[in-house]
Amino acid sequence: MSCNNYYENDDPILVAHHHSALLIDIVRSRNVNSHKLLAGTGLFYDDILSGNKKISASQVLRLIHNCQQQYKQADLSFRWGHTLWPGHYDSFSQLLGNCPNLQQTLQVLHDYRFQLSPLMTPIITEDSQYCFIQWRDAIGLGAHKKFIIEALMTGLAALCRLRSGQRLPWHFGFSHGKPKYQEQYEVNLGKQVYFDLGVDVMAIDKRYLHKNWQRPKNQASYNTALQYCQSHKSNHIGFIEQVFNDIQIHIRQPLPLEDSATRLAMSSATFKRKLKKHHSRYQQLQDQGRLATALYLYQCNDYSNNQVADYLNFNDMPNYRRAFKRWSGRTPNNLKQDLLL
Amino acid sequence: MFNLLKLHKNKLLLIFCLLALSIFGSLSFGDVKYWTQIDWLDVVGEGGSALALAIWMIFILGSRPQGRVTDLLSLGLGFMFLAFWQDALDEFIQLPNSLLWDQYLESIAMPIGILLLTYGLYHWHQEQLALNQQLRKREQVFREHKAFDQLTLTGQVDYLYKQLETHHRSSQKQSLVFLMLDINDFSQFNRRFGNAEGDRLLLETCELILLNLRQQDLICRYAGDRFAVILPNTTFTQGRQIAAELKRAVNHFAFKVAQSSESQFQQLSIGCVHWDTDHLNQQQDTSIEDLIARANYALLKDKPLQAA
Repeated sequence: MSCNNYYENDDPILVAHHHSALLIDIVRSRNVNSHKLLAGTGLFYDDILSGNKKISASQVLRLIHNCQQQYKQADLSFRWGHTLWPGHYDSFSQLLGNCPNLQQTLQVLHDYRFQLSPLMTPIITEDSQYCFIQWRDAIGLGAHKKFIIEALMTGLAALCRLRSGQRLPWHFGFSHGKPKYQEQYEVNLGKQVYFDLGVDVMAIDKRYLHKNWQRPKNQASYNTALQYCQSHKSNHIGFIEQVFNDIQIHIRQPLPLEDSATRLAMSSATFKRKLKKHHSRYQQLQDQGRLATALYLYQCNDYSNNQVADYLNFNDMPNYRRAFKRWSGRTPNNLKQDLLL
Repeated sequence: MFNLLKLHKNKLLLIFCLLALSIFGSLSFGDVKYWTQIDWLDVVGEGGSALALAIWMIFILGSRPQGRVTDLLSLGLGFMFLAFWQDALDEFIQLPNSLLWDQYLESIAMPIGILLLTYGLYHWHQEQLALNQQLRKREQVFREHKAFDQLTLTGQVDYLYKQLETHHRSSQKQSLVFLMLDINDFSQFNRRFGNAEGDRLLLETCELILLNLRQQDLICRYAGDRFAVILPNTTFTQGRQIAAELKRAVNHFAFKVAQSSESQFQQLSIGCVHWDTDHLNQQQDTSIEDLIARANYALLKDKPLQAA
């Protein structure tokens, strides 16, 4: 089975005047020269203003790197997050900014992620009490993942606040460790923030999913936006997301690298080269997939350690514990304590 | 730095001309020495000193606006630089002993330079005292420019912790009030008027709060639109009084958004907590983290209940 719907990090497919332009605006307001921001990206400021330039994910990452170098303060990702959504992405923003409730907002964010959130994929799951949004790297973000996840989580929380008129009781879990600038998390996200979780996930009580928000100001234009988005829905996904999906389907019997390459219709050598280009290793993606599965089973199916080990085909518990520690840096029981909401 | 250097074009030009003149003068009156005659240790010592002085001069000119203190400092360093420069030049060029201007340049320029520099440093000290007075509510006791927020020019969280630690450690037992404050619905304001206007609102609100504080108080930017204020030697009642005054002042502040005649009024929420360092010795559990957490909690309690 071959699948050629994925985009790689050097494919120019992202609209330059969308997410990236918002970031440039913030940094430029501090009197930073736009030449310095665009150095090494191969872009000119006029390109971005022109409104029809497409750029690649690696250009966006380089831009983020430059902005951090020039801006130097810890609040940049959070400020960017506040501006991300609904944003100015044509009909997609109009749709996102007018959803009648949280559940639909999440659905729109997921369905139109190519336009709304091209760097990370929101995966939505539910258990009996909570709704979870797991953010997954779509394109190989490497060292910039922390910056981007901060922005995206801030963005979603800010969008909900704007639409619902109140701060929703979100819980935020991050895969990275406790940063030095914790106060930024506190002010922008709130008190319920956890670190070293192995996954990047937001959770909210399911009661909030269907609470009604402000009605769309103009129902007709909302409907037009919906129609436009439905007819322009893209099934493009990031290269890493594609690999990840393949791994996830075969999570109980790990898919060897060679088979993964075959599914993408390329040789093992090409596949390895492409993974390297996307700052990823196959083993690491596989570990992330198994960790996410284990956490899902703990949280949503109330599985015990034994059941999870069994599901993931480990022969004995010590083996499973050791593997789990390698994936997340923590023992299963230790991590489970933080997961209990 | 280079923008400020432009202000001092004339001074730099004068020094450059004097250098050229001294090379030209030395060459026309003296003879160039042979390689074997040159004492390289002297060249490194004197030439190196001249170079260091030139670098200091550039740093001073590049970091200061025009004015008397700047003139004195740069003239002082300029004279010293010329003296060393002539010394170094002598190592390469043999000048006749009958030549007096060369000796004058070496032996008189140096003391004049030192005098001017000393006089300049004294005035710089006076100027610094005046500036400290201006900065007082933004920095108390110690200075660390890297810990300062670029927008509001107040301390950041690290600076706040250091300040609280000095109060914590100080032997004097005192009653301190700690405020945590933020602007209600600041993110809405940002969405409506843009980031640049949001930045300006933060900056101006910060200035307004500063105006309403006492000389001994200190303000730091915590994160986003949240500020922390330390009120030393203050009872809880006094602290709440000051918090109420701050709220009133901000309520009446008519902020003008660019390209709009309508004034925007803001409201503050303030978390006010008391910290008795004497009390502390009996109950060891009140740490700085604890104090900040308590203030943040009080701040959330102070927020108006939002319509669900």
